[in-house]
Amino acid sequence: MNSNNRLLEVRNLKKWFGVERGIFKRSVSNIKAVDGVSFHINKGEILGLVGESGSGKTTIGKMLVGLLNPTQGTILFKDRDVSTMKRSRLGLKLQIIFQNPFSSLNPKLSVGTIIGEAVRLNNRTGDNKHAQENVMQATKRLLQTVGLPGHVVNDYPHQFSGGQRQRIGIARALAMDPELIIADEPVSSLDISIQAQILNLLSDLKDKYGLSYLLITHDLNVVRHVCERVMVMRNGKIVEEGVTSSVYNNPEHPYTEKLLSSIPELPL
Amino acid sequence: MLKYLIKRLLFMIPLILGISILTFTIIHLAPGSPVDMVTSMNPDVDANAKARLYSLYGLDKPLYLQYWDWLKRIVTLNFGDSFKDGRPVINKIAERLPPTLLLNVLSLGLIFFFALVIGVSSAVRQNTLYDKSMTVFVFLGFSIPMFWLALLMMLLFGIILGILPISGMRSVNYDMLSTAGKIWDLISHLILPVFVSAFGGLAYLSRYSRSSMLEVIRQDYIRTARAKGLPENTVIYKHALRNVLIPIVTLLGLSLPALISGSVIFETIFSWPGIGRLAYEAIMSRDYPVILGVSIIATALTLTGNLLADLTYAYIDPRVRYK
Repeated sequence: MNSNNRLLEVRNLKKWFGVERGIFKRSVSNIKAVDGVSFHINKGEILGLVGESGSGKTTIGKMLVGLLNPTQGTILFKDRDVSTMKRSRLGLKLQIIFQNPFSSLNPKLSVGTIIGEAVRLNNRTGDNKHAQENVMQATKRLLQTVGLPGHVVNDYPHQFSGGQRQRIGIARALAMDPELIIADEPVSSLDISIQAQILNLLSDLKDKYGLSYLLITHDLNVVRHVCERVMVMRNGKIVEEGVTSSVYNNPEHPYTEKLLSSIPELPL
Repeated sequence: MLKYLIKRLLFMIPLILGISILTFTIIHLAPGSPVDMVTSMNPDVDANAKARLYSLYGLDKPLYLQYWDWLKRIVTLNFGDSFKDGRPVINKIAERLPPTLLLNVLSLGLIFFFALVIGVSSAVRQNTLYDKSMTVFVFLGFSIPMFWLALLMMLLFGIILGILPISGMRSVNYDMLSTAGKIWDLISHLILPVFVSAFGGLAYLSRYSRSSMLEVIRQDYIRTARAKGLPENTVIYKHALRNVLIPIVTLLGLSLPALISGSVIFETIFSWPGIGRLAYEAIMSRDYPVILGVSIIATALTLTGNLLADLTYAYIDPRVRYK
């Protein structure tokens, strides 16, 4: 792969959380949530990031979209250092889908507001009547893209099921016209049957809009079905990285081997 | 919903009855009777005249009969006449209501406004110097006895600086003033009582909105709003504040009765011609019908306020439905 094809490159990324004690807030030790991680994502690629809880997967996702500031290291998005970009510019091209669709939608705002707000931010339109109508139309189109009827714009999050809410979350991320979507455990709080629907939707959207994904998950089966490449993370470090099929068939690191052997299988 | 409403309204009846019985018993247990208040300082009144007064007021009958007579009148909404000046109780309350309302609406408005501002701004800057000094400030207001602060303020602004009137609602020369002068006169009389009562009430609500805000800004949907790339102000004032307001609106409903019942100590210190002072004067002169009237109205309003708060809650949050 040549470097022109690279959408995102991460070099030696670190995030340490200080542990402070006593009245003077003396820093006694650091929790190394992410400890020197380097990887890249190519255009149109789905990269899987697996690991157990607490291994630092979500912290990486949050740093990529700018919700957390890295302690050290650089994140290059299309060869530009994101720390020099404005937060709102970065937010446009790099979006995140959260794990829990029940808590990640504001219960007091209608679906139209949640998505429309992002549309407006993306288009930088004013608040006049014509612009409002355009935003409404765009919102409805987005809802249809993710498989929801357009008329639900006036409904509130509590009126939807988990799968539908995750679709709203995806529409919200799409509203910003992103090139890379960080999907942080996008299906782990959904039923198995719904999981497949959402994963299919994500892969349809990838083809339609030329998206790339970083799929953060602890579910190794999901990775096997969806991802081209996979990284295995443990204690803030990446222990193995490679093409999914070869990692699954010939794991090099003992931890990967252990993870793979712990996949529950139904005796058929 | 209607069934729930009717049930709640019916439930108010035994509560009001119980409270009226308690009030009735307590004021009759208190030493001294309304007759003593009128006669004890007058050497010309003999035992005969006293007995006539007793029977005139109906105070010679057994206590339960007195209560029964009062209750029969109250169900027709007749609160009786004051023992002190013979005027209908309901008129006395009606003329004291506007000053109390004016004072309390203003101070409650100030409390809500500043409590929200202080609460939200210190939650956003949690554990900073600003947050901590606001905490000290509101608890200062909470801890200082209101009557003492009121006296200090009177001393400072009324006597040492001489820029504000000390007490009452109107100056002696009120009737001679122009319209603008009348308005200014009222405002200048309002400043001290409104400030003192608002300062004292700030702590409760501002701490409440602070902790409520802290809870909300940790929610996932706030993280979502930030991930969209929204400006921080939009995140706080649009996404978070809306969720903070719900418990606050409920609290507003709960403070409705305080709007009307007034504060006895407060209005007495500032000689404010409101309901609280009416109650104080009535108790001092053992004016039974007025005491009972004020307490019944305060009870009814408290219960209505609670009911309104519950209904507002159901209205705002679609997930709450009463059966």
